[in-house]
Amino acid sequence: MKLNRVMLAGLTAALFGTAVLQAAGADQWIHIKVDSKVGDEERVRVNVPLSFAEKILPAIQADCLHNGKVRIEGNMDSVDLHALMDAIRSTGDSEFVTVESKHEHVRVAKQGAYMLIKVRDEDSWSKKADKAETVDVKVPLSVVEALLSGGKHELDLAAAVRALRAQGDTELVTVNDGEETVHIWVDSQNTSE
Amino acid sequence: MATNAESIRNVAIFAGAAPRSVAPPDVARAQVGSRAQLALFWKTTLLVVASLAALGALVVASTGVIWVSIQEKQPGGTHLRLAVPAILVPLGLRFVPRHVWREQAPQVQPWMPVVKAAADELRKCPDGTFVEVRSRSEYVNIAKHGGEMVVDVDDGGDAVHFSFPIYLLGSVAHQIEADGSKR
Repeated sequence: MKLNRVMLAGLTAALFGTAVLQAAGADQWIHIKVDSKVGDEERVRVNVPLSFAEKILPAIQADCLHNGKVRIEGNMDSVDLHALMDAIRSTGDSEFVTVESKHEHVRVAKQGAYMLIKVRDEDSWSKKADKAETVDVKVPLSVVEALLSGGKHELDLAAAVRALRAQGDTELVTVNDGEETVHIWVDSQNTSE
Repeated sequence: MATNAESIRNVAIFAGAAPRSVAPPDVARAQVGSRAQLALFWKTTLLVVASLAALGALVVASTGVIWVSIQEKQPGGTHLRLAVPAILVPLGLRFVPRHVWREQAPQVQPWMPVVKAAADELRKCPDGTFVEVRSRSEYVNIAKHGGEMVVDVDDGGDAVHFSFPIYLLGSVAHQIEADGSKR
């Protein structure tokens, strides 16, 4: 009887170990899902393996994108993004920006290892559909750090993708304006359904 | 003279005026020998042709095929189906005229590293649908199945299916780069 229990425990451990190893080895995919309720009721699904994005980005040499880095246009001399990031990292959970108006609520906060941006715009509610416009952005701090790890005037997209890949399953963006919904997330599935 | 006699005998045999058995044994043996040689020749030719066909099929099977299907959906519309051995594409590129290269190179060359990187990485990527756009009137699907990229487009009027081996992307990009630098 004792032998049976030991064998069962061993088998369970082996199965669990295999599952963990498989999950670790699985490729992460970034998914973009757009559903429109107006016009042709378009549905868009984009699924890209992050490993693919990571390799492709450095190869693109376009107008403002070089070696996986985007050059920020405009005058950025007055803003030190790295210092800003250091400050955010060193503070505990807190709300950085809160805007409250009659129809609009904006909240930018740090919560755990994530930067959160929440927007509720009830102005669009009266004009458009049956719901207020909502925007939820949840970005891991490691990804923001990686994004700012390049030069002063650039965003390192390739590094951000690498960080995102290491992050595991993550909800990134959800936008709903009543007529259209946009959902961006990362997981190890190769479909967005 | 002997040849004339042989001819007369053959004609007589053919006409049934002379029995076959009267043909000299060496002539009959020669005729049998030449027929055997002819049969051997045809057998060898057939074997060579079959081997070449099998080799060709093997090369096409291992290098892949580009499938193109264009279907006009209106009544009586044409349905074009095309299967091109992928190996012909790099060969075909060698015959692109120089002036075409000169005109297109500046636009195409900067994107070749991207195409090469995409081809390398696509091969390693797991299968899946990369892009799907669906509306009441349109459908677009770009997916990877095995070693192939498959593109399906349906705009209500026409349905287009296009698939090609992924390695072809890299191979064509390498060739365009190499040829562009030469020309």
